[in-house]
Amino acid sequence: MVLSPHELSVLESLPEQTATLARAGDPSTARLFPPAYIDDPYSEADYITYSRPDLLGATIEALEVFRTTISSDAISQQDALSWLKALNSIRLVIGTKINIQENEEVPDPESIGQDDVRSQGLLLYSYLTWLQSELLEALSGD
Amino acid sequence: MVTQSQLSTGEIQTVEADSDLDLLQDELVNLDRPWSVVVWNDPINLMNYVTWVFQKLFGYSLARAEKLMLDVHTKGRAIVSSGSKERAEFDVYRLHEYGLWATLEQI
Repeated sequence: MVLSPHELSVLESLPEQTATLARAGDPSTARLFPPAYIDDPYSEADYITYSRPDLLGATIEALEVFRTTISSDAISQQDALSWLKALNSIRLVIGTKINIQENEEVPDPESIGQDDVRSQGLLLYSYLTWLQSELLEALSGD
Repeated sequence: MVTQSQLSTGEIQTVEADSDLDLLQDELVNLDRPWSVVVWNDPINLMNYVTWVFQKLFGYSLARAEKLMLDVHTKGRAIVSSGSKERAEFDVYRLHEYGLWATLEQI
C-alpha cells in the first residue's frame, strides 16, 4: 500500500497528536483505556495500577511505529500490526471527539463548510476507516 | 450482637470460629467459579476488525470468530473466553491492547 503525498500530509501529524492526548489522560482517549471490571471498584483500581502503564506504552509504541514507517514503500508484517493498532487508536479518539454513532453517512466533501468541524472530522474518520479496512484485507490475505 | 455474658463464657469464640469457616468456604467456592471475558458493542470498532482480533488472539476459526462478532453486534455483548481470574484478566488486557471494549465477570 503506497500513500499519496496528500494522504501522507493528512496522516503524518495524527500519531503524535494521539500519543500526546493519551499521555495527558485527555478525556477523548478514554476509549483507549476501557474498564476491566464494571461492578468491582477494588479490582478495577488494581487493574489500572498494574496494567495502565503497559497499555499506555504499547499504544504509544504502535503510534510511533506508524509515524516512523508511514512513508515506507513496504512494511513488515510486524509493522502492519502496529499500523492496524495505531489506526484503530486514532479512530477511537476521533470517533469519541465527534461522538460517532452507528451507520453514519459520510458527508460530501464538496458540501462541507469551513466552520463545519464535525463534518470535517467525520470525513477524516471515514478516510481512516477505509484505510484500516484496506490494511485488514491485506493482512487477512496472507 | 455480642452480649457481656457471651464474652465472659467464651461462647462468642465458638460462634466466630464457625462463621469464619463459613466465610472461608464461601471464598473457596467463589475461587472455583470461572470468569468470563465479555466484549461489548461499540460504534467505532469495525466488524471485520473485531472478527480478525478474535481469530488473532484466541486462534478461533473464521466461522466462530464471525459468530461471536455478530453476537456482540446484535445482542450488545458476547462472552469470548472464560477461565481463571488471572487468565480472564490477561485476555481482557490483550483485547484492550487492540482497542476492544472488554470486561471480565464471574459466572
